[in-house]
This record gives sequence, structure tokens and C-alpha cells, in this order.
Amino acid sequence: MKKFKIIIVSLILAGLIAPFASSSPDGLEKVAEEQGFIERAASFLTGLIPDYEVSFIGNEYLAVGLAGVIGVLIVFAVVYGLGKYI
Amino acid sequence: MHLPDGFINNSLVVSSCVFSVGFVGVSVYKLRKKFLERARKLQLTTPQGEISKSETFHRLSKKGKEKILKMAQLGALVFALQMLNFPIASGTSGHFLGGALLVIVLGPLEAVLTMSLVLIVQALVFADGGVFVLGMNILNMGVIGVFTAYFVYKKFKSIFNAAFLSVLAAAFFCSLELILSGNGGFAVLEGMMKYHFLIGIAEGILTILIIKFLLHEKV
Repeated sequence: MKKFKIIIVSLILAGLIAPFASSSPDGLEKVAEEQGFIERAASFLTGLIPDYEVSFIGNEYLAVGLAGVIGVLIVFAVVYGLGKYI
Repeated sequence: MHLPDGFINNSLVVSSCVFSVGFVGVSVYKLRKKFLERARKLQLTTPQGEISKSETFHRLSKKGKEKILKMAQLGALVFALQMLNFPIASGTSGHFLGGALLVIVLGPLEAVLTMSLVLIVQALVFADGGVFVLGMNILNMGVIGVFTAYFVYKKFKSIFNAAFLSVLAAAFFCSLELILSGNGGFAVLEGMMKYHFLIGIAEGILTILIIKFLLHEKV
């Protein structure tokens, strides 16, 4: 059904493609490493699914894929839900 | 470009927080006016007596409902796309931001709100981006990124340029914030702009492809 197209594409991208994404540091992180301030990074909240890996799954690909699927659904629910009660 | 906690000085963190809360708050207020409509619940009277009084209340208009649905779908899409890091130089990756995509399809305030919610979920659930610097990430990617794309697109009608420049603008302001926080000097700006030049090109191409071939939006 056409109205589910965007969500389905999102789920496929986050669930099946994301596990194969590059794990190199992104532009900001790389500059932080190169310029020597990466050590300042602090983390005050580990979050439910830190670093996009579901903790209870051993396989790294599945862990990331599931994290992606959960994230897509959470974002959709949050935006849609907030919208309904705006 | 998600800043973790620790890179930015407290005064900047606090000011950007105040700014972002205010900006998002005003956006919500304006969107409420746009999306909501007044409706009337009519009075029901039976021979035995009144059942209910008539009252006016606010509810989402049809357009409002459609807009919210679109925001939710695009928010989910941007979240998914942001997970897809691609290599841009040896040992470095980039990822799609989505500010231009959101603003061209949804409009500026809708885009700011959607992007902010994506960033909030990323920070709180996935620890992607710091919690204290959320205000700063919203400022860079949600406000600066979105509005740069908005003005460039409005003026030049170029999806590529809107997307490309929005990434550069966000990176530029992020560099200033890093430099003002004592993380280095010109080399920080140079490094950030160098990497985000490449990321911006990818963002430009991807934004066009998504708008034209995935969403089929007539823009």
C-alpha cells in the first residue's frame, strides 16, 4: 500500500542496510581525533540502545538492524503521537 | 555532526539550550495555529432534558492530520538515513543530515520540529549526541541547517545547492562553537569544512534522489 511506502523503505534502510554502514568516525569525530580534543567527550546518559546496538543480541549485524527498526518505529510514534496532541 | 557532551563550554551549552527551547516552543505554537481548527460539539436536547451542552474545542484539521502524518514518515526516513554512514576519505565517514529534505517537502517550522524530535530520540535512546548539548545540535542541524536550505531553495530553487549549503552552514557554526570552546583554532574549521564539503555533495545528490524518486514530490 502506497501510504506505507516511506515507512517500509525506512525500515529496510535501518534494519537491513544500516548494519553494513561504515564504522569509521564521522567528520566531526575525525576532526576531534586529529585536533586532539576527542578525549573531552563525555557521556552522561547511556541510553537504552547505546551506539545503535541492541545489547541482548550477540550478532553485531542483527543488533544494529534491530536497533534501526526500533528507532524508526520510535521516531514515527513520537512525531505522530506528539502531533495528535499538539 | 552530533556533538557529544564535553566538547562545548557550559555558557555556550546553556545559551543554545535556551535558544532552542524557545525556537522549538514558538514553532509548536505557530504550527498549532496552522494545524488546528475550531469545531463545535452541538448541544443535544431530549424532551426529558439536556444531554450535553454545546462547546467549542480544537482538533486537528484534515490538512493538519495529513501534515502530521507526513512529518512522522519523513522523521522516520531521516532517522534511517542518518544511520547509513558512508566513507568519504580514508578512515572517515559521513552521513545524511536531512534538513534540506525536510524543509523542501514540509516547510520550515515543520522541518525544525521534525528534526528536533529525531535528534531528541537519538540522544535519549541511542546516546547519539550528548544530552546537555542537545540544544546545540538542534541549533546546528535543526535550525541553521533547515533555514539555510530554506532560504537557498526559496531564492534559487536548487535542491542540490540548498542541501549542500545547509550542510556547510551547519558545519561552519559547529566549528565556531568548537573553537570558542577552546578545542583548537583554524585547523578545526579547516578540518570540519574539508570533510563536510564532501558530505555536503553527497547530501545534495541524495536529497534530489529522495525527493524525485522516492517521494515523487512535485517541488
